[in-house]
Amino acid sequence: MSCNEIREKLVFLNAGDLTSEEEKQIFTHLDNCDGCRSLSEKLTASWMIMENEKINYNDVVFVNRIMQRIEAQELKHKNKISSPSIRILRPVAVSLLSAAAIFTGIILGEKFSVQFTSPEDQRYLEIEAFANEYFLDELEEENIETILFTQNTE
Amino acid sequence: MENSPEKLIIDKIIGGDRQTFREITERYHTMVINTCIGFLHNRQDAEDIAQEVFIEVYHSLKHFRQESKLSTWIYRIAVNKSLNQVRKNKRWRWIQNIEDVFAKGTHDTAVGNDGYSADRNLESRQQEAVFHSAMNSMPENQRIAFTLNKYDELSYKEIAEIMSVSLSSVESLIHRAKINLQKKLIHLYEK
Repeated sequence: MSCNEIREKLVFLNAGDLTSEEEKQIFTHLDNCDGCRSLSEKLTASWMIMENEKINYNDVVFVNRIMQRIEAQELKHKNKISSPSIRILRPVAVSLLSAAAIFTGIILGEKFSVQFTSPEDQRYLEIEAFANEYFLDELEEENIETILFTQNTE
Repeated sequence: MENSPEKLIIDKIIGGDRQTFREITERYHTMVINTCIGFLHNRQDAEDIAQEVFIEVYHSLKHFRQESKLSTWIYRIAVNKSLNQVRKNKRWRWIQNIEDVFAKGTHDTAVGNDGYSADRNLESRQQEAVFHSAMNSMPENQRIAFTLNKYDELSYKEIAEIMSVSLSSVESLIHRAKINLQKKLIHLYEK
C-alpha cells in the first residue's frame, strides 16, 4: 500500500474498523515509513484525548446535587402555591402602612406647626407682606421678556 | 407499552416518587455527562448541562409521549441542550479571544519557568486544542452521530432512533465524520 492509502486508513485503524489483514499491512508499512508513523502517532494521541475525556464511574455527588436542586425547586414552588393569602395581603398591607404614614404626617404637622397669633407675630406678618409687595416682587413685575422687549424697542 | 416496567417507572416519578427518579439519574447520569463532554469538551460545563438535562427530564416527564424509549428521550434532551450551549459558547468566543491575547504574555512566561514538564503540558494542551477544533468544525449531524457513537458507545440503531434517521444514514454520517476528522486533524498538524 502507498503512503496515501495508508494515511486514508489511519482513522479507521484507531476506530478499530479494519480487518486483521488490513491492520497487519498498515503496521508493516508504519515500521518502514517514518512520515506515516509520525502521523499515525499524532492521530492515535488525538484519539486517546477522546477516550480520556470520557467518564466511566458513578458520580454520587452529581446525583445528590441534582436531587437537592429538585427538592429546593419543589419547596420554592410549594411555598408559592401554599400562600396565596400572602400575595393578596402584601399589597393591602403596604397600602395601609402608606396611608398610616401620611395620616401620621398630617397629625404631626398640625401639632407642631407655628401659630401666628401674638401681636408680635402679626407685626412680623405685616412686615413680610410689605416686603413682598414693594421689594421682593420687583422681579416679578419686570420679568426678562419685558426687559428685552423694552431694550429692543429703544 | 400499557403496563411496561418503563411506564410504571415514569408513572411513579410523575406521582412524585423521588427515589425512583434518583434511580433513573443514577442509571443514566454517566451517559448524559459523556454526551455533554463529547460536545463541550469541558468537564465542568458538561456537568452543568447534564444537571439541566435531568431537571428538565424531571419536570417534563408528564409530557413524554412514550413513543420512544426513556433513554432515547433523555439522549435527545442532552444533545439539544449541549448543542445550544455550544452555540452560546460560539457567540462569546470573541470575548475569550480578546482575553487570550491579553493573557498570552503571562502564559508564555509560566511555561518558560516550568521547564520540561511545562513543555509536555503545553504540547498535550495544544494537541487537545487541535482535536477539539477539528471536532467542532464537523457538520452538526456528523458530529452528533460521531459523538453518540464514540463517547457513549451507542449502536448505530440507537443513534438512528435518537436522531430520527435511517440506519444507513447513521452509517454514512459516522463514516464521513471519521474521514472529515482525519482530514481536519492532518490539516491542523501541518499548520
